Amino acid sequence: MSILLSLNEATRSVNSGNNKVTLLNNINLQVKEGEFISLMGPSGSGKSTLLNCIGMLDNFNGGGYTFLGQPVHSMKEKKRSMLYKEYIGFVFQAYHLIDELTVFENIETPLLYKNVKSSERKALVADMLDRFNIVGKKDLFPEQLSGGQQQLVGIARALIGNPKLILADEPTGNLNSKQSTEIMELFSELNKEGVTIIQATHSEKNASYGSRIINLLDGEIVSE
Amino acid sequence: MFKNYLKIAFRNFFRNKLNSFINLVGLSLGLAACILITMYVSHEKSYDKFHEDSNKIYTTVGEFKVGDEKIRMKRMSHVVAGQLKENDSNIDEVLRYYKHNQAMRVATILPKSQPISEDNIAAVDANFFTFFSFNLLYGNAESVLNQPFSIVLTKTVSEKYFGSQNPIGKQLSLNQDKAYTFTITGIMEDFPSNSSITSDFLISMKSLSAMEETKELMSTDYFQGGSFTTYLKLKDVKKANEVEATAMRLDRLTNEEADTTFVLEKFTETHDLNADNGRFNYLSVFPIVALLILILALTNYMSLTTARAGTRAKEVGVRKISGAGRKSIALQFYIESAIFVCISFVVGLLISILFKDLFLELLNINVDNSFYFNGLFIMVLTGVFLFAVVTSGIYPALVLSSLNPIKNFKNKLTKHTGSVSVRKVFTIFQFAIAVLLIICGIVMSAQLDFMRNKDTGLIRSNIIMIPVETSMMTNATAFRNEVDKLPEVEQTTLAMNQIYGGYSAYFVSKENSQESYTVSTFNVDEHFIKTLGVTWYLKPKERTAFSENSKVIINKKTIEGLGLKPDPRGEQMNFGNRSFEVAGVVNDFNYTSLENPIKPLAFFVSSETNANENILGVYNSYLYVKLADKVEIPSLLDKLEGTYKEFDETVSFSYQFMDDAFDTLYKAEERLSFVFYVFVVLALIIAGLGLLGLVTFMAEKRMKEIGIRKVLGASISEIVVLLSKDFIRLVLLAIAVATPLGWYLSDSWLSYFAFKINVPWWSFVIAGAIATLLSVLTLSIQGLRAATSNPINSLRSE
Repeated sequence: MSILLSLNEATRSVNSGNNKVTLLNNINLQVKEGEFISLMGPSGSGKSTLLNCIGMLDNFNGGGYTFLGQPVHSMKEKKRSMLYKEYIGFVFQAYHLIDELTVFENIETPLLYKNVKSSERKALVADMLDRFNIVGKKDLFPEQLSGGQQQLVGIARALIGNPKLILADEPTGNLNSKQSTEIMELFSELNKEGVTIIQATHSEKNASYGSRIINLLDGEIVSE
Repeated sequence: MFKNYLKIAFRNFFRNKLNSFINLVGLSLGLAACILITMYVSHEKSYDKFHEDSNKIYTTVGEFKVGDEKIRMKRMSHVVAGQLKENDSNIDEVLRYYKHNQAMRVATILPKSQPISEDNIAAVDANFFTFFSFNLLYGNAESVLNQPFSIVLTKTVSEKYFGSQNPIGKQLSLNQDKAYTFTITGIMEDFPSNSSITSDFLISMKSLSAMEETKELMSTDYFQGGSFTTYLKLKDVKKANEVEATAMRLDRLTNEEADTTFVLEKFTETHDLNADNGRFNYLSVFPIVALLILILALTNYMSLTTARAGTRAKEVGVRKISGAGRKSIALQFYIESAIFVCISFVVGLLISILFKDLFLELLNINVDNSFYFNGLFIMVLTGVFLFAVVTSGIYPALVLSSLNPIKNFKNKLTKHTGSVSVRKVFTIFQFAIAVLLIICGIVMSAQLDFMRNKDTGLIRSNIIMIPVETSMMTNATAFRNEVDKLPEVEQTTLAMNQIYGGYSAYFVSKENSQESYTVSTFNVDEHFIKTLGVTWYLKPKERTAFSENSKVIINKKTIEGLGLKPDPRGEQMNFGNRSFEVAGVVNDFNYTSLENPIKPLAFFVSSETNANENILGVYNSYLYVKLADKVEIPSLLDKLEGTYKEFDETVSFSYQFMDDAFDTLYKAEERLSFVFYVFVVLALIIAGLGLLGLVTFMAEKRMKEIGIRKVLGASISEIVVLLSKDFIRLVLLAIAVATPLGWYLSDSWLSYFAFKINVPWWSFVIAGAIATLLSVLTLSIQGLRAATSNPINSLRSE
């Protein structure tokens, strides 16, 4: 299988007062297309930072980052945002749906920024609603849904742009165990369909859905 | 995409009801004030611009100097127009306009109607309707006023005399001293409210030479000042100078020593030049105040919207992660602001329509409804609208679009130090404006109060001034005698002028001196000085000081102004070419508005008998009636009117109390101060609303802190103080900023008055107190709500 992205000695540090704090230290990682990776580690070990950097919402300060053969570290902001718009979807622990938009509109939002035509948008969103069995909820607002349902919408939104890679930061952190299982099963299904997934999680059980587990501690990969 | 923005905007609008309400009310009120002022100012500026060739039309004006006073002749003799046209090829067309300054009795002839006294009659040249762009409803524009004794009425006047029927060809009788029959040849639309020409009746110029009353006007052959407003339409506006030169040349032909300068004034500017708005230019103040109010409302919007940034931050984050660029986020918030401004603008427009009449009444002007569609008005309004859209959106768009998605999610955006300090500046700014306006309002009231109550050197109370016109003729003396006999009347006295309504002026020189000064003069009878309570500075040596003896009484100012001897009694003064001996000196008193300094003044005093014979009924004059104390005014007025009617059938009875006449002088200031108070209230409402919104938001944001503090034992009052402290500091700072500015502005306003107060120190105290009180009230309402909420709820929600 082809390589989706690779990190070479990637480092991320911030200045906190006079101290330089290293969040990620010399990370070497290759992700192949179709992998399902679980990042594990205690709070503060750098899981979220790693996800954000891979997702191009944040930048490494050192080392190299190649995505689909293109050097992200030397890319301009605009190009980078084009890249993640095209290939990456995000799922969050707190769902991060827009409260003022309905389910339908939330899912539709990424398409708006890709300038997809209205009729096409409708068709794509309808497919997605159908696939996740939430057609009946399309006109509801996030606050009218349960957490599990909100996360479904969150995933649907991440998938609507047909990304190669889904980055999920504690996707089940706010859910009960039944809802968690449903979401994790959805992820493995998506993975089987060919979507690459990287999730950050605390739960051994959730991690076991993945094909590969990476343990982080204090910003370094300690085991695989 | 756009639809999505719209949706979000409206949903947000309804989600934060209090916030939206505050924004909407504030902005709508601000815009309404702005719209009304725009209407007023653009109406003033649009005067006479509706004529097709308005920019080519000029009026001829003569200027000359006497002493250091500049005299402006707005009207020319009847030959000026013709001579100019003949001698200068730059002139395309000329038109003379003569406003008859006496009332005439107007009646229909068939059937004969009761005459009505009309005083808005003018004579114009035959080309009136082709020269100007007034619309004729009936009649031929080329020929309506060709013939002597033809007359054109406005629609309203036509309805007054003939109801709804077409009066063309019918006849009207106009009667001043003699009756003349006029044939109606045209009906015109009423004059627009922004026309400086407004006459109810237009008669043909040829009629003037055929009427006894006006024949004399047409007799002079001199190129000089006169009674005719002389309009010129130039072929090329750049040649105005040449025409001015031609006028000077023509003037010098008949009068070699003339020192009159002839200038062409743009017709569209004559309204401004002739306006009697007091000496202070209120027209330039209003737009500034309106702009301030608008900015106040806009900063409210900006400040409240960015204060809400925290709640919008998640949305911005999600959108950015969904692929939105900074530009599209900025655009979204811009559109949101624009929608909001649109709604407020519509609401503001409705409010302005609702309050239009009231507002215009306050300003004492009339604006046609059709003015809503005036080009200038719409243009300025569009400008206001665009300004509002651009400014309201810019700051929220910039701040909100700059939010970083990851930071937003992580820190829940608790601190936005940058925008917090900007909001502080906004609050200071708003309260500074409010305080500034309050200070100005207070100073205006104080000055008005001062002017009304100042000892002006004479006693105004209990004096009624009754105009007695020449129409009463020889009956006038009998009328005066009847009035004198009334038991309520203490004394009557006679003057040619209405006090506070103008005066005559003479060019005066001292004995053996060529230097001339302007001296105001009053022709009065012997009781005048005493009746009005004017006091003597140097009493006449003999009791008689009548002008028949070539004697004159002057005021103290004349001694200084002309440099007379400390005791000038017996000194000679030349009024024109007649010589008068100073008989006595009165103390200075104000005979015009307190805006003006007291100038040299002279009384020509006649004995009662002589005055009755030579002034009363011979010239238009005023009978001053001093009432005894405790008189039933209404019944007395009835009696006076009854008596008056016995002696004058033509001109109806009118009167004015002297103290009313005095108060009328300050109408402009009074209006201004009232409009100012409206603004002050508006500014306070808007600033208060803004503060309410901010503190509500602050309380929400500090919910958790408040909860914890309460659990730890903080009292309600401590919480209120905690929430209010910062804001009160800002308000105090605002007061500090506004005070010097307020002092400066009101002091420069006061400098327009010759008699004025010092800016009172307590105006600052009161303004500060009002602002502080308002903010404390607002803050405690919201603070109390936050402080009394149950901490369990706030802590659980975190």
